[in-house]
Amino acid sequence: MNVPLGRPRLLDRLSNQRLILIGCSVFLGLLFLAALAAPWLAPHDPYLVNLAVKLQGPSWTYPLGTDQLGRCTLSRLLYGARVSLGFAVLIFASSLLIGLLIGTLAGYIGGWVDQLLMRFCDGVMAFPSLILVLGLVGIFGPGLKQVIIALMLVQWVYYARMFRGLVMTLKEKNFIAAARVNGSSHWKIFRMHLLPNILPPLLVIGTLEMGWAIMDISAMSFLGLGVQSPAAEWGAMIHEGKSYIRSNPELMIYPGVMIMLVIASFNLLGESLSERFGVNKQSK
Amino acid sequence: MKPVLSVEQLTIETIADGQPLVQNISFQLAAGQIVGLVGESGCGKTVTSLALLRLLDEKVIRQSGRIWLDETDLMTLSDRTLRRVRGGQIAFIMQNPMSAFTPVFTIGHQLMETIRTHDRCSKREAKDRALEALREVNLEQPDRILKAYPFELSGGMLQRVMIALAVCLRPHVLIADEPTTALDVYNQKLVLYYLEKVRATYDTAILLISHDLSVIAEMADHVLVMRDGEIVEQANVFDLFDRPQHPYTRQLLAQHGVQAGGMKA
Repeated sequence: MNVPLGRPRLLDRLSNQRLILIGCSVFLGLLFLAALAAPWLAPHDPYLVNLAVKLQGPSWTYPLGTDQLGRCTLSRLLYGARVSLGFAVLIFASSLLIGLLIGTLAGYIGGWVDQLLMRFCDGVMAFPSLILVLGLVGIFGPGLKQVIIALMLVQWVYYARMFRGLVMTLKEKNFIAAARVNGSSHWKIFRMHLLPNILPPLLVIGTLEMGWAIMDISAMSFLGLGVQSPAAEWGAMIHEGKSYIRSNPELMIYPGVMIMLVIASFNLLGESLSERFGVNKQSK
Repeated sequence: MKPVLSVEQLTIETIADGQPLVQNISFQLAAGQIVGLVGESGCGKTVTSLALLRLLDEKVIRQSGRIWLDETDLMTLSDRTLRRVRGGQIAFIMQNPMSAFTPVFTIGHQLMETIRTHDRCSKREAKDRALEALREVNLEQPDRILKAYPFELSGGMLQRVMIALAVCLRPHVLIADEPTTALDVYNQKLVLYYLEKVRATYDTAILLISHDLSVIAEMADHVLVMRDGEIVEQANVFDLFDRPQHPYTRQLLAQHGVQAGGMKA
């Protein structure tokens, strides 16, 4: 009998999950690098208006063409990545921190503190988050700073909920009791025993939520509430391009594709991470 | 002899409906003495042991009475001061060694953490003390155990690590809550041997909680019999096994196949 020997082919050896994990990480990594290096990579100044070359197709000088004001689309996409990714990270990190703090407190202390904080979270969660953000921006007035604050104020409750649940299950574990028996302070228990044990789910949820943060930023900018023109930002670019949807649909397609790719990558990455760590993710 | 730990009229009840868990119990522990606490599951043994360190959730459970450690009443101490006592003056050996260590850090990390929580010393010094503590319970290759994660060791080894951890801070009192229950017979023997050694070497007072009468008979000097949250009988180990007074004690002994007067001194 002929038994096939030798190493299996590359695709077989890498399981699907790992391919996705590696592929998405590489894509997002490159994108972050490109965003950081935008001033050196961009072929033109993203804000340079040149009406002589407006609405051009792809060419060697303008690889992705120009927009209605003759600005280089590729340069605007690169600079837009800085804004979209940068503020997504900011919103994500700050709401995560607030959520971590409040969720851990509620889960660890329990009792009326827990009740109070969680009823507040329930209240916030009762509204669809986008509507609530819109309402808050309506109160604060449009602008990037206001949008970021509004998003932070809404997003942290989801993290708080999750961390509370994780901490409550961990709290009953024997090693927490052992730490208390040995005279560890609450802060030490948090740092040494709780935090390291909630890292895997934190990583998974974090990756999934990054996609949402980018979506939110873009959506707000598209509605004209977040980043204001002429600043380059993907959502704002779609907003500006929508007047030319019949003659030059690519003005909307390029930033749209970027948003889609980034969010899809974050989601797939989160999925495959959760598969690896065996984490039950909680979708929002 | 002057007791190291003296419990007076300890009562524990739930706040919600005032249901008593432990009623009016009093006992004393002297240095170098092993006191056994026996009783069926659910009679309040573990609750009592946790109450001694005031580890019960004070939002759910109310405890009253006095717990004298030397000259201080633990009931009056603040949480901060109590932390110095926990692990420092009163050490605790838990029932299930497999789950008593954080899974994400090495044994060495956790030993050194505990040592440095109580005594201000350098990392090197803490490491040396941890190594010495492991040697004391005859664990082979202590330097390798320091680098191991909890899941890499067996239950018996972890229980010995826990004894090492409890003893390395030289506590006056050691509370061992069912220290042998989760172990096989060979490891039970070892654990009991090291507890005895701790008592002999450091003159530590040990409260040994068990439902296993043979463990109590072998180890304890003095025995408390607990039933439904009350101590129904306390006596010298020989008296208790030879001349049990309370009907419940007789019943317990009978269940274990020990006839009154059947213990060989």
